[in-house]
Amino acid sequence: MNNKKNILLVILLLTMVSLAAISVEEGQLLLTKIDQQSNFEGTNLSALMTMIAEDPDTGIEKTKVLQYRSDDDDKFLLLIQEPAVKKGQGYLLIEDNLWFYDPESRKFSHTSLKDQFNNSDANNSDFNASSLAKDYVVRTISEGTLGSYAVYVIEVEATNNEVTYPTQKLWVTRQGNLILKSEDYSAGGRLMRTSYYPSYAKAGEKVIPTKMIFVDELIKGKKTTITLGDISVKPISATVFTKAYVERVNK
Amino acid sequence: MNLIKIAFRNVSRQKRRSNLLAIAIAFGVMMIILVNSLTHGLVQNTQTNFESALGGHIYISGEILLPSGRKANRIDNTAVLNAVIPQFSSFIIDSQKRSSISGNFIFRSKTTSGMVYGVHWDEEESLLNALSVVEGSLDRINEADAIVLPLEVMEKLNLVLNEKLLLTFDTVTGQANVGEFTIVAVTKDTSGLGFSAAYANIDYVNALLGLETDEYQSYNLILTSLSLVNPITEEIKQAIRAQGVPLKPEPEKEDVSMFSMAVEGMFGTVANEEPWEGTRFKVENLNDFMDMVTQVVAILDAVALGMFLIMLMITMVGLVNTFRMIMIERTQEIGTMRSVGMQKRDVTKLFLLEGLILALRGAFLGIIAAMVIGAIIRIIPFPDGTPLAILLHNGHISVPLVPSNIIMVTVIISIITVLAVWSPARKAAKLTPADALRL
Amino acid sequence: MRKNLLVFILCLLILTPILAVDEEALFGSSFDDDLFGGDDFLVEDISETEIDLEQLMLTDEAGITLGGSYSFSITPGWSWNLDNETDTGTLATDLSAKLFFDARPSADIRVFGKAVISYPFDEVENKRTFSDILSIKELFSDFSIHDRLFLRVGKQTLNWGVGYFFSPADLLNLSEIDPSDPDKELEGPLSVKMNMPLGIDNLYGYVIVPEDAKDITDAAVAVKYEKVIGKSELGFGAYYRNGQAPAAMVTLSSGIGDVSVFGEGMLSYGSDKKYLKNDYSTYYENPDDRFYFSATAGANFTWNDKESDRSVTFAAQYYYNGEGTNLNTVILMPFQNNGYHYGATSVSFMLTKKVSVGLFWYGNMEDLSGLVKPSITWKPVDAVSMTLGLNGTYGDIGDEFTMVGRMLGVSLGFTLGEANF
Repeated sequence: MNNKKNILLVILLLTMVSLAAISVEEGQLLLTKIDQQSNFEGTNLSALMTMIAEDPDTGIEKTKVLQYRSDDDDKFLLLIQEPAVKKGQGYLLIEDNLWFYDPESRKFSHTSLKDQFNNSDANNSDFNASSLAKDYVVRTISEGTLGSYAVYVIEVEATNNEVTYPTQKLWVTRQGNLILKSEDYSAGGRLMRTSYYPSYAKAGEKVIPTKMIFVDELIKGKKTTITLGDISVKPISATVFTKAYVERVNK
Repeated sequence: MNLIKIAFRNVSRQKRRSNLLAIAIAFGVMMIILVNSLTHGLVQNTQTNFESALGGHIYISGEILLPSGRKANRIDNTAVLNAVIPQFSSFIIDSQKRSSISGNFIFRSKTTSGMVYGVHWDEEESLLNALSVVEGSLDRINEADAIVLPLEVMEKLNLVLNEKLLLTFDTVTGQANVGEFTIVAVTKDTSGLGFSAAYANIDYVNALLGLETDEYQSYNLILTSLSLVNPITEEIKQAIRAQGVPLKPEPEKEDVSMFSMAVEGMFGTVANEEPWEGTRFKVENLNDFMDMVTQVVAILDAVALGMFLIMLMITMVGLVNTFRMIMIERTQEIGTMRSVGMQKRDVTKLFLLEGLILALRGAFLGIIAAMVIGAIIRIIPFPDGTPLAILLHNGHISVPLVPSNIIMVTVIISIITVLAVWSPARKAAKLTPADALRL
Repeated sequence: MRKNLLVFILCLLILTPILAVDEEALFGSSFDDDLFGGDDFLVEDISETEIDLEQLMLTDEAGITLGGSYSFSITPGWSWNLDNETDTGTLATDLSAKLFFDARPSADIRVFGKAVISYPFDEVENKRTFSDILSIKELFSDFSIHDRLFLRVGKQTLNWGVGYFFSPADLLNLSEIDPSDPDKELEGPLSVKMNMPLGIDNLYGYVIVPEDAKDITDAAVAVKYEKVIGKSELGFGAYYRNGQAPAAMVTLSSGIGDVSVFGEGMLSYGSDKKYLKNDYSTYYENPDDRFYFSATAGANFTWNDKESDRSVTFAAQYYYNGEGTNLNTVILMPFQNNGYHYGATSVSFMLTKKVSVGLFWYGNMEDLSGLVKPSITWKPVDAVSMTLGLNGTYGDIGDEFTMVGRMLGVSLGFTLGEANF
């Protein structure tokens, strides 16, 4: 009797083990699901974006912009709301052509994007489509918690040597497959940046982080916080991406 | 008759006039020698400074095409260079293999951009000699993570010796990476080129860049003579092509095609390059960077030559007039000499000799003056960080006196003087003794 | 009992690594706990109905926005005439305020007006009229027809040319660009502007009503088509007004690397320019029975140092005025661009957040006279700035910029209490 009980106990516990563990292959599938629900290709997106860049040397810089994005037509409009000295300035990007509008002189001019967000810790790749499943392979996966959320802690390694961060550690919610935190490591294995995604917005099957915090792990005190508000995925009318619209919305 | 003795005596007779003439000639000679020496020194120093900053006269690098279409600065096929370079060994004094990282130095909350060259310390004697160390020493350079840092980076980041410094950059394939270095020495920029680089062990730099230990990104050659730079560059390019490996196509240098490239860029996209296999080599040389300097030097030389010719003209006119006066003054003397048996050609020879002696005396004085002034100019110290640093050697102007220049100037002055004196000498010789004595 | 315990412990040992809790999450940073420790919902549905972002900036909750700016400056200076060796002291004061209203009763229409009030406020010896004290710079409304044709109707600054210091193609605005202050807003005419976006290109039509118009035939019409080719934008335009020389123009704005380049060409049949003759009472007019071609080309460039506040801004432009004259029977008043060849350059260096230096040159390249103005500005606090400037003119007496002799001046300007609201 006791032996039977012991055997049952062992079987029960071992079953728990097999139920609790997640395999590397399942982890890889998880990356695919994250990509699918994150990509907004073919969709329009409008949002009010607030970016606060903190730098121990230069202080805090706050920028608020209204952005309109239409991936189908390769069009993008950004209208600066803050700081006040730049309010009304607009960047209209259509294919490879960029116009900058200055509300003071009421003139449009060709310019380059390079200086736009130059002090930020966000990389351009942060705003591109997610391609985790293609660029990374899961090395280890385990269960854990982050704050009050049950997560999978996934260590991934790049599949090729051209990906910016060769190694990443991701904290992904077990429910909903949302990345809450990501640690980005250099080619030499040094932690360079920690990214936090504490809140998301959902539209159908797609999710988009509504708050992103990028902490520079090499320069103490340097971080950038990006918040998206008033998000809309409604189709954007073509008139928004015209010089006429930019002139109309400005004083 | 010993015409030379007589000529010497005649020249010594009219001390004031002779001295004035000699001084005029000396001034012209001094100016042309000094200007030529200065431009020579300028070119020499600029080339030396570029040479030590860029690490040689000829720079061979390579790039490979990554699967994504991006290019990586890397030489995959060192066998090609191992086959090509020995063909030119008789023209090569020294060679260096280097890798480099361009990134951001970080210390606590401060950052600044910078360049780190990875070098084989035991093979770069000339670099060791060229580095001007202001703090620390080069004894520890062989430590794995040692870095020799320029003073301006130290000041920007408030660093002290032996501190640890981070460098963020991209590897050759574009991955983000961070390197940690220990500062063992601090140098100041003496080349005046404005880009002060840091130096570290090439093995460590390669590891950070994602290269193998024995790899390098650029092979720099120092030639026996600067005049060989362009021809050897062309021959190396041909030798590389003969190995069957691709060479990076050169952009045309004419203004017309630059204009059409600009127009193409404004109205369309520049055509994509043809893809290639393996390493595509690029061969550049010092003159690619020296173009502007050589143009300035050519202008200076032309100006100096122009000044010299003008001075010669003035001197010549002065000599002609002076000797005409001498001839008139010494008409009776000529008559006397002719009447005691001096032939016409001897009279001519005498005047020519006098002219030659004046010229040589003037040239000699001019050369001495050039040497003295050159020595004074060489002593003048220039402050650190002067924008003229590229033209200087260790903070001083170089004024090398080139013997061939001196000889050439002396010969030219002598010829000009003889030509100037020819006409009055001939006229003097043509005087009949009777007419000469009567006047 | 003991066996059960042993089995239990064994299973725990097997299970623990797999069920291992992330050490950081257990003992980890308070930052993580602050962000993820609460009970807030992680995911919210995107709200589609509340705010229409397209309309957001076209409308105003309050219905109307008021704003403006204020500036006061006082600039004492001294100038010397180097040729007749006289000197004078000068004192320039500028007190002005700009007021604007932006009324957006609905997304379909808005009305904008801007006025400038400038000192002195009274009529001083009948020299100032009311319109000098309070002048309406802009007063227009914006609306569209079926979101295809966008109209702006009223007094408005028109964007016709692309030149920075000079714009020969700009026949529409009432004032010309002042090369020494090229960013200043130009005064525009009373007009109807129609804009039809055609994909990435734009078609514009203008009907301009001049101040001296007596009937409809006095109105001017203009059309412009902007075409994007590659990374450049070409503009083709034409202008006609009864009784004036008709003109056609072409503009180009593009970039080569980090440098922006621009150019304009204008061809008119006949010329409306007239020049004051030496007798100071009669005028010389260009003949009307031929073509006149004018052109300009220029570039500008800005560089910012990422690690500090330093920046450099550079602009240069050459202008060929085909309607110009170099007759010695006329007087070329300076700053009127009545000669043939002109150039202008400005360079400014921002050395720190508070200090900048600048250099401006503007000259007639035919008679080789011109103006050079170096200056240095210091802004110790937000509402105060001081500018030390030199200005000198060079050329022979009688040349355009040195009509009465070469001048050398120095000024120290104080701008106080400047604000935008």
